[in-house]
Amino acid sequence: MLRIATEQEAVFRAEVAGWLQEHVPVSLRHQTFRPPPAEGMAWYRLLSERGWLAPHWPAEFGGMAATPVQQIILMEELARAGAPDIPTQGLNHIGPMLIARGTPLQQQRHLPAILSGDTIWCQGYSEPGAGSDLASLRTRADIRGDRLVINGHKIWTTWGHHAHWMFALVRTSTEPARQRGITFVLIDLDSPGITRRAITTIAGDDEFCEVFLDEVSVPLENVVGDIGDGWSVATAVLAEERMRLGAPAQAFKAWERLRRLCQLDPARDHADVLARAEIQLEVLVASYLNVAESEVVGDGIESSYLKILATETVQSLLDMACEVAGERAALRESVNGTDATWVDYSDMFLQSRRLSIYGGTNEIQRTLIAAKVLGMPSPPRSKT
Amino acid sequence: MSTPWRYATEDATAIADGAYQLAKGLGGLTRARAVRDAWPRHDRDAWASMIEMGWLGMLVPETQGGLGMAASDVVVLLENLGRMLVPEPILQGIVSAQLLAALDGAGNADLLKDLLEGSRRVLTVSDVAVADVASVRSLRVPDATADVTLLVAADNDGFEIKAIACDSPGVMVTPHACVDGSSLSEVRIDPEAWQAGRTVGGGDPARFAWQRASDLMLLGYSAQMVGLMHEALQITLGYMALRKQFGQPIGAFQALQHRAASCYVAIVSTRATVHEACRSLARPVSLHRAAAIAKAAVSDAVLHVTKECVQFHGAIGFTDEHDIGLFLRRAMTLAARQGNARDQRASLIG
Repeated sequence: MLRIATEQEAVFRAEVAGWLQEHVPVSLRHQTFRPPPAEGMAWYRLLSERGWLAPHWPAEFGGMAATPVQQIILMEELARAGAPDIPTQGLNHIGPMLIARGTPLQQQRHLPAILSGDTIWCQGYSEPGAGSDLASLRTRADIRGDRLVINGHKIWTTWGHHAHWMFALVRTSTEPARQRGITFVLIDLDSPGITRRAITTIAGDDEFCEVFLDEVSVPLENVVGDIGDGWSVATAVLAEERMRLGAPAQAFKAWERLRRLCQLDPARDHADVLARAEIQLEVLVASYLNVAESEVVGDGIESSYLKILATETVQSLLDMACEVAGERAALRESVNGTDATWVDYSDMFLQSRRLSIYGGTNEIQRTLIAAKVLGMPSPPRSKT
Repeated sequence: MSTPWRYATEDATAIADGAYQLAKGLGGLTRARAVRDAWPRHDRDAWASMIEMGWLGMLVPETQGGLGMAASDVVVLLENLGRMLVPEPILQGIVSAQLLAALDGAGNADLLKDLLEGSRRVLTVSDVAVADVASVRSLRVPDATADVTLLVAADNDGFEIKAIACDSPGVMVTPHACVDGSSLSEVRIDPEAWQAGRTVGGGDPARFAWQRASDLMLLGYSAQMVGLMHEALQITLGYMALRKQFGQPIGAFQALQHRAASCYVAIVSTRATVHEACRSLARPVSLHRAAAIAKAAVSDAVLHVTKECVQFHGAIGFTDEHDIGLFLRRAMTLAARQGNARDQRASLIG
């Protein structure tokens, strides 16, 4: 951060750093990949018990209601301590959505289970034929009595094979206005008719999967909002989601990786690379604080630039890490860092390819900015 | 861009509007072009208007005849003057005034008064904090002319700041024109002239004040660049909406839209950085780091954006007749002034 920390902020940072030093499991430190639930959820619960799991949630729902600066401090210290990634679909997506649009019953049932780590969530939006053009999704849901019966195929479902529940967009009618026939529904993944298949990523881990839904029956009370109103539910907390996608958490992690790689090769002068990285990181942090501390207007479209900035900053820092690693950048193996924890050469670089793809590709974000922020003319559209 | 800048306070909004309207009223880009082509460039009427606004005293406490405002207000002012490529050395004036005020007690009140009232132009020489008094010194000074008094610092046998008029004996000013019409002068000061110069500050307080002035200059240049790249993109977006090829406005082409969006990202993110850097003023080490980071980031961004804006205009953008070129020229000047991105990175490492 460029600003001078207040005394309370400095105290908070010291408290966080001290606690993390003691509690982050040594075996999980500085890992690139999110540890599978059997290894990682204990850490999730520990963070939850300490009260630092949901800094951005309001206090009345068990969150920390942290200031933007406190959030930055947490992200930075978590990265510095090498804390492993945790599942975020519950914390960053369905949680805030239920807080905004869920019924009291849905809130009581699902929010505490997200905080306790009892429920892992996944997001069922993308389909083989519906990626950037999400509104063309075809997974069908028919109303039969007091239930929805769902048939279809979801894909690129992050942690879908580990999740207990899925929040999904399904088609309940085939109106010409495509977005209006979509319904937002919560699906218990233990329901009969669900088949899941893990997909190995370019980085070699099983970060996501595909989900087949065959006559999956879901009670109507699991619909969030109204039938046919799913698009508005999915976009209700867009401004908040943009903040999460635009947060510098992964950039801090990439910065640590870069620094640790430089430390492994102390004979070379890395000062200019590190200064470049430091500047990019500070631009991102300043941008995040600027947006988080300003009043968000409407859907916060003006802040959609944060997603582009945050993800491309991570990728840029990892490009620098490749440069620093030199010939070793292509090695599959990891090495012991100077503090006997892991530094991988290639995993994080490969893994970071997803950042500019998920959550709306950066091309889609740029198209949105051109149209809605810059007011540029509509491109000619071919008929679909 | 569909959304104007929003400022947190009414004061800031008033400063922004005042600056932009005055800059436009004085002739806007037409004046920027006219001054560019004049030599030596100095629009006395414009300078007088700015003196009248009291801007030079923005960072001077009210008890010393200033407005007692914050650095963040100066950033707002300079952003909006930057949009119209205002060529006057207003930043140097503001920083010089605050430096003289900070050094008050050494009998600088008359110098400060002259500056604030407009009877004398006093400019800091902030790209050379350390000079060797014993030898003839060669400084690079922006916008030095005969009626300017320079504040120069030297760091041997204790830190010393002197006020030396450009037309005093033993001072030789060799101006070199810059692409935007400003100048960068080589100034040589003979040892006798240095001795004869008036000391306005010395010792550690002066060193501290000088460093702060130097960092404020970096922030001020950064703010001007933010304003100019914002305006350049706005002009360009207007052109892209009107200019038709293949039967449609060129702004409808996605290849150009995405690049324009990247320019937008560069502008808003570096602007946030400059504003964030204003929150580091209370501690010298933090201020220097923040100012260097801001100047480095903005210098890269401004060159990227203005080069893109020329490219988006096509052939007309390559003509001297079109105003967009003025923005690239100013960007080249300000990005380089008092240390480009590479120099700033070096100072971070230093």
